[in-house]
Amino acid sequence: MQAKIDQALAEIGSVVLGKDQQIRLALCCLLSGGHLLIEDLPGMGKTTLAHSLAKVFGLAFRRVQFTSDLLPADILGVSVYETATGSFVFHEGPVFCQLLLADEINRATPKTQSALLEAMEEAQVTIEGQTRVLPTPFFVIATQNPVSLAGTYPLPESQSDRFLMRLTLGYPDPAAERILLERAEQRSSLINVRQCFEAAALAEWRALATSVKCSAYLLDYVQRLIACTRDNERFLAGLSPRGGIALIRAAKTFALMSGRDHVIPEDVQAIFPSVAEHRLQARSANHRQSGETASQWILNTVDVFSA
Amino acid sequence: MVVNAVIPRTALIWILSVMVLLILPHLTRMPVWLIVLAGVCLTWRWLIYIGRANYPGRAVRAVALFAVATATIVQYGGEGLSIDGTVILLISGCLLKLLEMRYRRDIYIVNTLAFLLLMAGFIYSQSILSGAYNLMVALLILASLISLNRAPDFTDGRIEQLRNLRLAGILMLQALPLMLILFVTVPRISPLWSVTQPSTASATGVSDRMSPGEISELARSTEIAFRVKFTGNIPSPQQLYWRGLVLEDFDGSTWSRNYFTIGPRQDRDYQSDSSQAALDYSIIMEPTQQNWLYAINVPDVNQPGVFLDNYNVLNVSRPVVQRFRYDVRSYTDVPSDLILGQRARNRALRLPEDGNPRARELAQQMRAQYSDDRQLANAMLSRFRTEQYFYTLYPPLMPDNSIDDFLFDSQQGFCEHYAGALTFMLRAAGIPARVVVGYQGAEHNRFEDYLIVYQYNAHAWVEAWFEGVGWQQLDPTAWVAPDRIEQGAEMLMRQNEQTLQDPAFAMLLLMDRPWLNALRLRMDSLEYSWNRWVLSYDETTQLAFLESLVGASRVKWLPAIMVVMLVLILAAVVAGSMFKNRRRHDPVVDTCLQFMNSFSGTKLARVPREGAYTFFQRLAQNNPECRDELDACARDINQMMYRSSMDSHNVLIKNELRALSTRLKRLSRQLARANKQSS
Repeated sequence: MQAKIDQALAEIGSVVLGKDQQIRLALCCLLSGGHLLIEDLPGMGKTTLAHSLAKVFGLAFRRVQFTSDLLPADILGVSVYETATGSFVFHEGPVFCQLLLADEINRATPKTQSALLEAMEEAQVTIEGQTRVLPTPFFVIATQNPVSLAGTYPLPESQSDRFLMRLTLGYPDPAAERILLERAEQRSSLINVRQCFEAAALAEWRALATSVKCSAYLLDYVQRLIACTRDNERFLAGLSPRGGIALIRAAKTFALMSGRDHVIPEDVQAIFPSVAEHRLQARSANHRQSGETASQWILNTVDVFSA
Repeated sequence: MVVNAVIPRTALIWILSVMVLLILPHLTRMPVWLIVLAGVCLTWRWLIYIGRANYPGRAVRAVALFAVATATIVQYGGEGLSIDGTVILLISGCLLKLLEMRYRRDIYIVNTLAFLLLMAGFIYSQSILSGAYNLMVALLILASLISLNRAPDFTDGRIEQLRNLRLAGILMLQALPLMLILFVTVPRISPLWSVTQPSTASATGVSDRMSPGEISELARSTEIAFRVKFTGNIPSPQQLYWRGLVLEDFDGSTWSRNYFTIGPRQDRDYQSDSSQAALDYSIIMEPTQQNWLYAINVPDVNQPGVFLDNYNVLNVSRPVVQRFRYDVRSYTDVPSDLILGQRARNRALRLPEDGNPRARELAQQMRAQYSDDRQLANAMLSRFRTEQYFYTLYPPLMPDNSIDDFLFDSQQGFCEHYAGALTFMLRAAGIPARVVVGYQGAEHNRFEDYLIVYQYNAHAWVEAWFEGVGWQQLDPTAWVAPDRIEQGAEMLMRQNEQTLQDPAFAMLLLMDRPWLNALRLRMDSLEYSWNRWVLSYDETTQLAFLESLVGASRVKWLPAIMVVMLVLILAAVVAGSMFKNRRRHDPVVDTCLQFMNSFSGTKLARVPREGAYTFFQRLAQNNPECRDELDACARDINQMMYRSSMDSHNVLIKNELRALSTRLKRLSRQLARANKQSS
C-alpha cells in the first residue's frame, strides 16, 4: 500500500520536479474520489501533472482545451443525423471518459463551465432529455489561470466548491529548475510514466479511507477551524458543511497514505489549504499583503489543543 | 456515551451468565411458571443473538407482561405485598427485560436490575457462603459494565475479558475500605415499614406445646439451634440445661404454656453481686420465629427488648426472625421463688378431672409411703431406674391415657414422656411441678472454643417446688439414660441402629472420620465468626464499638458530624462537577499542555498550530539525543487523543494518562539536563 504510494510519487516526481507535496495532495485528492483544480500561471506544469496522474492511475484520459468559444456540446457530445440509417446517432463528447482534463477551464464562458456541473456532481450527463451515465471512476482535473489574467471568466462559487482540492504549483526551486533546463529537449519523458494502480485500487482506497478513525479531539479541532472561518470578519462566507465534509474526507485519505488508521491534526493541516482556500472568500485584498494566505492564517490562529 | 448503540457481543454474554447466576439461588422458591419463563427468556435472547429469532413484538410483550402480572397476583396477591411476591415480580421483570434488551441503554437498565436482584438475595440467606457467592456475582456484573465501556482493542477476546475481570476485581478491592467504614459507621436504623416474612421462615425449634412425640421429632434434626461462647471456662455437660419454656397447663395429652400468667419478673431473689457463682456467655441464636430465648437458670440480661418473666424465661418483644445475639449472665446457685403464692401453687398442681387413673393411684400410694416431699420425688425418680424403662427416640404411639400407657405398659419413651409422667405424678402427689423444655448439652468446637447446640439436643425435664428450696430441677432422663446427659445426645443416637439409618443423621456417620469432623467444625467456626462479627453487628454493638473508639461522651455527636461531613462531601462533589463543566477541562489535553507550556518563553515555545507530532519533532531536532523518547511520547499522545475511542472522563484511560504524565515529567527533566550541559 505504502509502496504503491511511494512508487506513484516517484513516477510523477520524475516528470514534475520538486513538487512532492503537491503531487502527494493531488494523489490524495484522486484517492478520495474528488475532482482536482490546479491553478497557476501558464507553463508551470499543470497539464503535465494532470497527464501523469492519469497515467499513474491507468485511466481512460481525454483532454479538452477550454477556449472562449467552446460550447457545451463540444464537451458533452451531440446527436448527428446519419443519412445512411436515417436516424440521429449520438456522438459522445470528451466527457465520456474516466479522467477529463479540462485545460484552462476559466477561459470558457460560464455556460460551458456549468455544462460540467452535472457531470462532476452526479457522474452523469443529460443531453436532449436523455440521461447518460458516465464511466466510473470519473474524475475531472481542471487547470486554470489566475483570475486576474486577461480573458478569463472566474469559476462561479457553486462550481469551485465541487472541486475537492485546488492546488497551486508555483515556481520550481532552483535545483529542480536546473534539471528541467538540462533536459529541456526531452519533453517525451511523460511517456515513461508507468501505471502504478490497478483499476480496482481506487475503490479499495475509498473503502479503506472510510474506516479511518476520526476521534472526538480531532473533530473538535476541525470544528474549531471551521468556526474560525465563519466567525472571522476577514471572510465574507465561511466554510460550508460540504467544505467540512471535504476536509474530513481528504484528511482520512491523507492519513491512510501515511499508513495510519487514525487522523491526526497534522493530516488536517496538510490538506487544509488546498481544500479550504478556494471555498473561502476573503473580505478584502488587504490581508493578502501580509504574505500568508487565508488558510495559513487560520491554521496559525487555531490552537490544536483547545485550552 | 452513545446509549443507542448496539450491544457489544461480550457484554451480552456477561449479562446473560450473570442473570443465570442471579436466578440460581432463588430456584427452589420460584414457582414452576417462572422457571419456564426464565428458560424461555434466556433461550430466546440467545436465539436473537445468534440470529435465529427476532425481538418479540409489542403484542407478545404485552401478553407476557399481563400473564406474569396475573400469575404473580394470583399466587402471592393474597398476602398483600409480601417479600416473596415482590422478589418474584422483580425476577420476572428482569427476565422480560432481557427480551427488550436491544441497545446499550437497555443493558444498563438490566445491569442496574441485576444489582437489585443481588440485594434481594440477601433477604433469604446471609451466610458466609452466599455472601461469597454474591460477591462473585457482583464482580461479574462489574465486569459486564466494564466490557460495555471499554473500547475493544482487537486483541484476543479472552485476554480482553480476563482484563475486564481483573479491573473489576481491582475496583472491588478499592471499594473495600469504603465498605468497611460504611459498615462500621452508618447508623443501623430499624426499618420504617414492616413486611411479612418470607414463607420459608416457619417456626423452628422447641414450640410452646408439648405432646408426646413432638420433641423426639425435633430430636431427629441436625440443624443448629444456637451457638454459645463462654467468657470463662465451659461448664460440665450436666450443667448445660438451656431452659426455654415452662409448660404448666396439661389437658390430658398435651402440655402447653399458659400465656395469661406471664409477666415481667418484679422481684429478684438474687443480688447482682460478684459473690454469686455466675456464668457469662453470649448466644447467637438461629431464627426461630418465636419470642423466647434460651439460657441457663437463672439468667440475667441487660439488653433492650429482652426481659425476664416470672418463670425465669427470657422473652423478646419481637419474634426472632433473624439471627439474634444476646449476652447472658447466669447465677447457677441462686434459689428461685422461695415463697410460692397460692395462685401459682394452684397452677402448678392443677390436673385434668379424670384420666390416667393408674398413675394417680400409684402417686397416692407413694405419698402414703413418704411423708417428705423430697424423698417422695427421689423415690419417683429412682422408680424409673429400678423398673425396666427404656429411653428411645422411636417410642410406640399411645393414644389415650398416654401417661398410664407409658408408665405401666410400654415403658418406652423419650425425654418428653418421662418429664410429662413425672410432673403428672408429682402433681397427683401434691407437689407443685412443671415441665421445662429447651436443650441439653452441646458440641464443643475446639477451633474457636465455643459450643454448638443442635436441634437434636432438644430436651424436656421437670421442675418441682420444695419448701425452703424453691423450684428445683429434676431430670428423669438422667436416671433412665445417664449417658444422654453426660455424653450428649449424639452419643445416645449413635448406639441406636435405627437412628443411624435415618438420613437426617448422616452427619453423625461423618463424625467417624476425624478429618471430616475437623473440617465440619472448622467450617462451622468460620460461620460462627461471620455471625458474631458481621451479622450480629447491630445498633447496640455499633454503639459500644463507637464508644470504645471515640469515648462515650463524644459518641452522641457522631451522627451530627457524619451528616455535616456528608453534606460537605456532596457539596464538594457538586461544586467540583460544576467547576469542571464550566472550564471543560480535559485531562489528556491538560497533561499535554502542561508539558508543552513549560517551554513557553523559550525559543522552543509551541505555536498554536503545532500538534503533538510537529512539536515533538521540533524538540527532537533541537535535542537529537532524546529523539527516541520524544517520538514515543508523541506517538502515545496521538494514540490517546486520536486513535482510541474513549472519552477522557472514562476511568479506563486514567491509568494510561498517569503513565503518560510520569513519562512527560521524566522527559522534561531529561531535556533540562541536556540543555544545561549544552549551555
